[in-house]
Amino acid sequence: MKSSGRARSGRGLSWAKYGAGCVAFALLSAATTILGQMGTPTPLSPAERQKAEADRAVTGPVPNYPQLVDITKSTGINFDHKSSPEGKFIAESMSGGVALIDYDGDGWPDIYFTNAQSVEMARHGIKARSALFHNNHDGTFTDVTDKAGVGYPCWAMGAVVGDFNNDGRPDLLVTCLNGVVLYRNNGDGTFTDVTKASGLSADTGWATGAAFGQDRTGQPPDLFVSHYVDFHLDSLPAFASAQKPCKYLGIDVQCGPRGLSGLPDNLYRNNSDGTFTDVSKQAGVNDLERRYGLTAVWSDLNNDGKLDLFVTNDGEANYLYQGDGAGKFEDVGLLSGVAANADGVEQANMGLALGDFNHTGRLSVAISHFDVEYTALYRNDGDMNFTDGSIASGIARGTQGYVGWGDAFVDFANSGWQDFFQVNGHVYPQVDALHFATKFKEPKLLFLNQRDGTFQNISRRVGPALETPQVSRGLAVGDLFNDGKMEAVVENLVGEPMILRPEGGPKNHWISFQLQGVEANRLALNARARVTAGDLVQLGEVISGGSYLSQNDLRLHFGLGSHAQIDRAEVLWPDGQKDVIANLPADRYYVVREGQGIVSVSKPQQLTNLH
Amino acid sequence: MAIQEHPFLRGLALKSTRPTGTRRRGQIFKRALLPWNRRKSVVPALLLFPVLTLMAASQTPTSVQDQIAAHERLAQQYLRQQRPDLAIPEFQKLVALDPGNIEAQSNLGVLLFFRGNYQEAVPQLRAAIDLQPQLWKIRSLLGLAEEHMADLADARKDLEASFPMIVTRQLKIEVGLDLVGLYTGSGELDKAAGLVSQLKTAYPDAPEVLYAAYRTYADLSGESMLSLSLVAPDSAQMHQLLAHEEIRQGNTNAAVDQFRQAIALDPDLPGVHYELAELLNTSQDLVVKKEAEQEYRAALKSNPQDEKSICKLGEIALQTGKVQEANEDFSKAIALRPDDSDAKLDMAKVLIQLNQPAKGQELLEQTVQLDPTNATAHYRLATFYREQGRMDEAKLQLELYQNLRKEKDKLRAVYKDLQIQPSEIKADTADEK
Repeated sequence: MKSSGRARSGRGLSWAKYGAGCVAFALLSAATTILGQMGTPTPLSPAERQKAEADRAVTGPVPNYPQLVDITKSTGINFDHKSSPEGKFIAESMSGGVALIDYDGDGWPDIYFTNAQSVEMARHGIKARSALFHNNHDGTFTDVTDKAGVGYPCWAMGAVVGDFNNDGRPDLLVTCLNGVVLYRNNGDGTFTDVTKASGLSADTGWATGAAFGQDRTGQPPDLFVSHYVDFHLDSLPAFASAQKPCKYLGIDVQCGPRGLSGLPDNLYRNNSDGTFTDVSKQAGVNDLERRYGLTAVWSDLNNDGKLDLFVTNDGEANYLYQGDGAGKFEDVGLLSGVAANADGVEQANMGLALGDFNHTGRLSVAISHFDVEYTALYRNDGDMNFTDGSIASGIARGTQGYVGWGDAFVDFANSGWQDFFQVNGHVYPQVDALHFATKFKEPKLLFLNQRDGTFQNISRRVGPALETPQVSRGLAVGDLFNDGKMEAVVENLVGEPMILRPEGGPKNHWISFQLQGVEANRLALNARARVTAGDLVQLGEVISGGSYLSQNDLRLHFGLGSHAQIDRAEVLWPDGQKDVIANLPADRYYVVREGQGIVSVSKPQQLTNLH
Repeated sequence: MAIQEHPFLRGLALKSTRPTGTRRRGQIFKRALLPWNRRKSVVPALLLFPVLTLMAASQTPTSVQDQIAAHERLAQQYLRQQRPDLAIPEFQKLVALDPGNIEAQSNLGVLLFFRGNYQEAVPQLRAAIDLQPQLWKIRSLLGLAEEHMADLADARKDLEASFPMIVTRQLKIEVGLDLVGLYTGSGELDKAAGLVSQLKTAYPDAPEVLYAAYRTYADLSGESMLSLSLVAPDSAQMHQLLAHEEIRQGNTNAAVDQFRQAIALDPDLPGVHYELAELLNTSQDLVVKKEAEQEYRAALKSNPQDEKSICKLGEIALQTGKVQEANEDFSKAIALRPDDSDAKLDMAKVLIQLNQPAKGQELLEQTVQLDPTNATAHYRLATFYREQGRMDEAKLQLELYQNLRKEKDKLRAVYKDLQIQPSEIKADTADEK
């Protein structure tokens, strides 16, 4: 028999094993041959790819837009996320959440970086140190980890903020490879690990995303924790195992998540006494299918006054749990259109950003995905209906080719229109050995809101910092220096973080609100502010968690463009109360307390230490 | 006399053709399932056994009649007692006394068959057939017994004769597969393929049929490959064949090379341009995709009615943003083949882009009618219904979508296992060597 004698060309494409005409295997998607890879290939059309190339080819700064400058060095932050250069195990790829938390209540966001050891380190009993950096109010930060007592929570994945004991002080919840750690804020610069006392020590699975949310009207915020893969150090999936999906474009890579068992998610009811009770099953969020849960956020997505819960699942359908206001939920993910893409294909689903980018009064959703996919932008059409606007918005063509993680709708220019920012980094260090465009380290992406439902890729036009390739994971945005500008804190899987600050650009106005509840939810989680300034009507919500396993500044920041004041701010409290404040000067920080209105006003700082 | 039924012969109406003087007992037999392994004794199957009354043999001496009646009674009794070992001798005596007794011949033959005594079963069954050739089930049993006795010529004759006349599922499958085996054994793979195809159509859920089909087609494929390599080793068809073999092995580049060689030898080789185009079209490289487009156009030039190529060009047009062109292509495709669900799904996507959602929805509804297994169509239809507030219908479509996805996941698991198997099979082969 004549033989071609050619070597195998690799398994990156979907060649049917038993012949192109075999019907049975024609039923399988292309992803079946790309075993082990997260993500389902969803190729963009050549037309879209050409547009993407055209976007990237545009040079020169964006008119009326700041540059994003890397100010990491000047902040004095010295943090190193541990990593394994070989990345042989999935547990070494998924960590890196970062939280902004004003732990000392001085009105200046502090930063908590999570850290994770490698398997090799763990085998030798070496732990990785997470770190808390205190904001010095002068553009610098100081490592206060040891004093705070939050250096070694666990093999950390992410961190979120909530006030579980309703004492008005933000507490820190760290998700871990083996459960969660709850740090109670003592109010004196220290934290106490109250995991066991709270009952949360029963959570022992690989926790990833978490979020506090007041899903029961009038009750304190509960805690939702999503879980990923059933992973144990004493029974690791062998690297590049033939028994598990462990190949990517023909090369050996870490196994999972496909092929590994998933773990169910948990909803912990806050008992108002410092303890929690697992109510996952009765609430209807116990994830019977054990999907690979990642980021979770609470929000009232259909504006019915009842909190809903969005959970991203890696490579599987997302959950959108519609709440009844009394602690029970029904998954409407598929029905609402957010479980998968327009063709019903499930995607990687890592980072989760909520924002009213198109000023409809409804929060739309952006989810970052794997490189063979593209970031999904689900436009909230109301009534629990979402439309996949990824391609039409221009987000798809700018994000395909990158493995996206932390993401956020953020108004760097204070124009009044939120742009979209995403940080990226591959999963497999081994990709560098392939002679493809795909690299382990990847640049960041920024999309300018065109104010018509579309975005323009301006990643290469806001300074060199975004183009610095890194292996990024967590992203938290907030006004770090209380000067009315939104910074971005990026935690990288490998090495140091990056802190980006917008500099230059037009001197647009802005306004900031810190909301305070008075009853069961003093952090005012899921309280909303609707701000009207002329023709600008914007909506913001205080959200625990989000991005990728991260936590944004809990204050609500609104860019106002040329408006020097706002006509009205309506604060919608979770219990249904509403406070309306009219005619507020812009460029101020307002603390609004439920039922009392503004209780404090402060002006922005003028920092000189930033460069 | 009480009627008992042999499960095998249930449903079989036996009519005696014996000369006058012999009492005929006509019994209706219900349908039966042939034991899965017919070589085994199937005593439980003999719990019930048809016993027929005999017509009085008016010309038989009374003593003989009495004997016949006595043997009949005993045979029936032993069968009720589930003692075929005792019933058989009674039937043998019955047949000796009354050789024209079809029922006795048949029953004896059946009993002997299910006892695995094919040597003795054959003459009895044959005798019954000689008396009444339209006893198709009996004839099929005769054929199976003859096969056991390696009397392949007679087996084939009897099985071929009985197969078309049998309606009982299990028996039909058994006989059919035996015939397939006979044809395969004699190298008549075409006949085997034809018959197995019939069986597959009639019994698409029978695993034994599906396996036989797989083996037969695989054997036919192998035989054809060998023949082609002997008859025309350097032909365009040979390269086309090798291309498919390369595809099976996952050697994409090599497959493309083979297709190109085939085209170089015979640019008008039917289907070759389309096949090459399909291979090239899976690439993400824009240059390669352009080549795929050219090959689809070449296929269309060869055959302007090639609906599949028209569809593919429509897809390419859609991807390159040429929506109107895509609209024309898919319209043509649907006109040529209104039953092509894929074309209708793609056309629906075009209409959605052209802001004609109502028409798009209509096509999606047609798509799911034509191809209820198209998960994407169900999902997209659910989106439409959801947007229109038709939530119950949306939920139904999503349920169908989810069920299909679950089936796909199961297949994926099977596929994954098959990926692992080849090396295991190779290892086994090495051990055997």
